[in-house]
Amino acid sequence: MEMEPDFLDRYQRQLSLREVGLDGQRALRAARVIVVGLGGLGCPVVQYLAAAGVGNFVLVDADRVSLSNLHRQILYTRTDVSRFKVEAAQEWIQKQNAQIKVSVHTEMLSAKNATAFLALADIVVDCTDNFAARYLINDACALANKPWVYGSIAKFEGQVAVFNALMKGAEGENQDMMASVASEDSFNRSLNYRDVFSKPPGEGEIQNCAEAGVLGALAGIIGSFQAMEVLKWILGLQGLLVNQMLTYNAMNQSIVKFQLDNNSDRK
Amino acid sequence: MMEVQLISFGALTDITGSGVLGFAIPRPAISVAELMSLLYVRYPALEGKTFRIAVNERFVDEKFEIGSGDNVALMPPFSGG
Repeated sequence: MEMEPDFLDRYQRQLSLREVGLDGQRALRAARVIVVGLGGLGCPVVQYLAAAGVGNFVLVDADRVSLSNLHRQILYTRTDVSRFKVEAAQEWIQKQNAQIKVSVHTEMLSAKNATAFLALADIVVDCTDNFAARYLINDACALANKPWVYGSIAKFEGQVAVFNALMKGAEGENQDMMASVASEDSFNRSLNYRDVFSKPPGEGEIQNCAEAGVLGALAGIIGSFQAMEVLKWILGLQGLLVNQMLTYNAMNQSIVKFQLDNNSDRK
Repeated sequence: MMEVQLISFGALTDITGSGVLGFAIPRPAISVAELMSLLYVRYPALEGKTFRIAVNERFVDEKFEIGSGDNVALMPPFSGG
């Protein structure tokens, strides 16, 4: 895919990273990312990935911007209120860089459309605010052999993980590969959301942001963690959050990474 | 005294309180299942809640043996986005 004429200047600060360079920048431009949910997490995810030069976005959200979104969904402004979020986000991305391709879908992810949407992307970012959508993403990604980056928040805390990523060799090596790998025979998929929480909690058991409240900066932090994992995956970097779940607590600024494995009954 | 260090996450802190607290165990090593029943006695509101137990920062299942001094985390799924 063509790079814009000014890309050496635009991306200079990341091109100079050994972990990015020209090859990495081309990988970012070729990457196709689907962002499900354009709320508190989806906004920073889209903003950082677009700014980094990710070349293709699929945006899925049926919601419109409301005034109560603006304290944390800082991609949107007062004039976006009542617009579809995906359309306002598309406009923001194309102001940032007109060469980025964006396809927008003003519908909720459903069992009917999930397979078709996932076929449009290499990696899925879960920025949803409910368990039905999250389990749908998990199961659809398992069927389609796609990795997905989980993020979720609760009051002053957040969780982040990379699920169902293709890994070469032994567990924990974190050597994820792009979906273009010819054969999956010598690769393993990392654990997924159902390996952490096998089934959804009861209706109304866990509060969402509307019910529990949230400070906008937390959504920015967790969304930025998700964006970083997407960039690492596209660039093929070490240290992906696979087979583990990161938790962040904004009150005491602590991060704990919980390990996940399939042999949890041994001491 | 034999005890584990208990720490809750998310909305479970509304039930157990936030921060690390010592929780007495009757023997030097007990299963996760037994710890759960002790937790339900001390914190009845935990019963029926969805959460995983992690011991020393590793998710474990009900058969896992917990020892005195272990760090035990109660981790619910989060919903918000």
